[in-house]
Amino acid sequence: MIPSVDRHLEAIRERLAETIFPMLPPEAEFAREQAAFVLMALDLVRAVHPHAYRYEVVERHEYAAALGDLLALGATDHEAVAGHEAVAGHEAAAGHEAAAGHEAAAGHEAAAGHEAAAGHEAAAGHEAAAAIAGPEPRADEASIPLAALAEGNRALKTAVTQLFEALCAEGGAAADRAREVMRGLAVRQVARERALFASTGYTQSDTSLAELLADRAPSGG
Amino acid sequence: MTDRAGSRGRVEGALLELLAHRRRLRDAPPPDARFRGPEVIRAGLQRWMGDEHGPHARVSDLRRLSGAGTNELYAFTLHRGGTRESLVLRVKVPGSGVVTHLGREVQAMRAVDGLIPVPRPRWSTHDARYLGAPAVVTDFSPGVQAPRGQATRASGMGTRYPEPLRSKLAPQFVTYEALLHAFDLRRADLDTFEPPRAGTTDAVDWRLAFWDRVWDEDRLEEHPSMSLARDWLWEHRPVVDVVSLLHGDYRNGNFLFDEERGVVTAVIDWEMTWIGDRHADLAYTMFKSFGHVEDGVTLVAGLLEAGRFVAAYEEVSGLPVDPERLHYYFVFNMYWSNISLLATGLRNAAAGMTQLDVMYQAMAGKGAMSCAALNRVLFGGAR
Repeated sequence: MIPSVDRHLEAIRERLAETIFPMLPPEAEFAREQAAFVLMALDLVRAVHPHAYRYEVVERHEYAAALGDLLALGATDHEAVAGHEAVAGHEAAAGHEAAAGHEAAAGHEAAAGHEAAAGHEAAAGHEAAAAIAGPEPRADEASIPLAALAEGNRALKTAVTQLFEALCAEGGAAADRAREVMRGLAVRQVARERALFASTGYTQSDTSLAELLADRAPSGG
Repeated sequence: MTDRAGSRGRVEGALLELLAHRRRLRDAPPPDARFRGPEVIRAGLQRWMGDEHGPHARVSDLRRLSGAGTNELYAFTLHRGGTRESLVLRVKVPGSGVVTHLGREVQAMRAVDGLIPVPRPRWSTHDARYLGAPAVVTDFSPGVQAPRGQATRASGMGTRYPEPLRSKLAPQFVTYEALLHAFDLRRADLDTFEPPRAGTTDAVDWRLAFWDRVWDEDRLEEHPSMSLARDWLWEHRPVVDVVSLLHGDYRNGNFLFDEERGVVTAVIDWEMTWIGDRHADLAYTMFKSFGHVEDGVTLVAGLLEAGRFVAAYEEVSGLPVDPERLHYYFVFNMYWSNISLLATGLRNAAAGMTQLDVMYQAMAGKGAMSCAALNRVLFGGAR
């Protein structure tokens, strides 16, 4: 994709910062304040958009696993049906594993490999080898639209919350266990969000978003 | 949207009406929901003041003041009957990050006027024909929000006060909070509030139910930290021993002062006022994020050390401070402030109701930080 999304964003940011915003009159306090937020938001988008899809994939697996855990805690039939329907609806919308596969170094058929094979320069051959050795997406990877994946995740989160509340209302050991499940989700959710917003300065993260998302096993949840 | 709040506690009638009005606005946003230019404000204010004081009343020198939270602020001069007055217009922002009730704000300020320095409310209107939203005109209060030369911070949060200013302001800051909470509610007209019973959990039940409902209506998606906080807050509701009028946003940056004399001239921003447990206000005032650390000591609101703050408060108010309830309301305050950061602001941004959309979306990062704090407080969750 030429120019890349990131290059577009970089150019937009530079024109705003160098060409447009300095022309705002000093007395336009509100506009100048919002201009600063626009630059902050562009920096945020540039930092996170490469990870946006993976972010949703990780959430999908985490919340699906949590929903399974909560369903196993003895929710009533009605709650269980609601939960199963939520999962079924989500999977219908989002597909099964197409987005989740991220198996490094498994492929051999990439276009880059073909190009490399045709080369004669040692350097080009070296680059081709490196490209083949890198992570390679499956042909159907990321075929679910990002928005559909995110919408499915919102439905999953709603189902998880409703089950959690139902279990807490019942009390007892199941409620305590449900809280444990929720605490695990909360810790991981907040870690992701802190990494996501680190560029704004409103929060900090010791771990980059890329590292956090790479840590999540696709099948583990 | 689920209606879980309704099953746990009732929401006061005035606030239910407010939420219904908000839903109508979102369903059909008025064309000027995001931006009302200065000429629109000037014309609307002129019409309102004319209806209020007669055709000879005239508005001049209108200028927008800094700050754009729940209200838009304008200073202006009102000419009538051969006199001229400097006044402030506060117009509710339809797409603000927090739900607030103009009638309560006005009644609370009127109730404590004379006891605490406040911008005295003069006229208020709920008639949207004038300014597109409810509005109030108050006296102009002289003073500054932060010491000269200090970088302006959003809503004055984190304002610091150098000595000797700090030593002059600190006792006044504590005293006014103490006087507010010791104020006898029977002395005032507060009919937009429903009176909770002392010795019960009415006040916290109603307030929690209100915030739950706001979360349910505004959230774009659920959040496990918020679910855990809601569960914990309902499980641990403390009885409210004394029912007090609360400011709701009592902190550094929300009072004006005369920098030369070191005198507080006005306690401002009463939009979040409610009737409840004083510990809600105290825990909010004592949020570490509003203060700062100096020589290893955290200064409450950037003014004084926590032990001295509590001792002075107890002495002036005659009301004890209970650490357990303080802890409860720390969580409570984090819960509702997260609703603003993670739900209402983002919902209004998505609905095209505000010009602060970019800011609200970036400030969701503050919500992430606050959820991390919630996790730590509730179960020692990893940073």
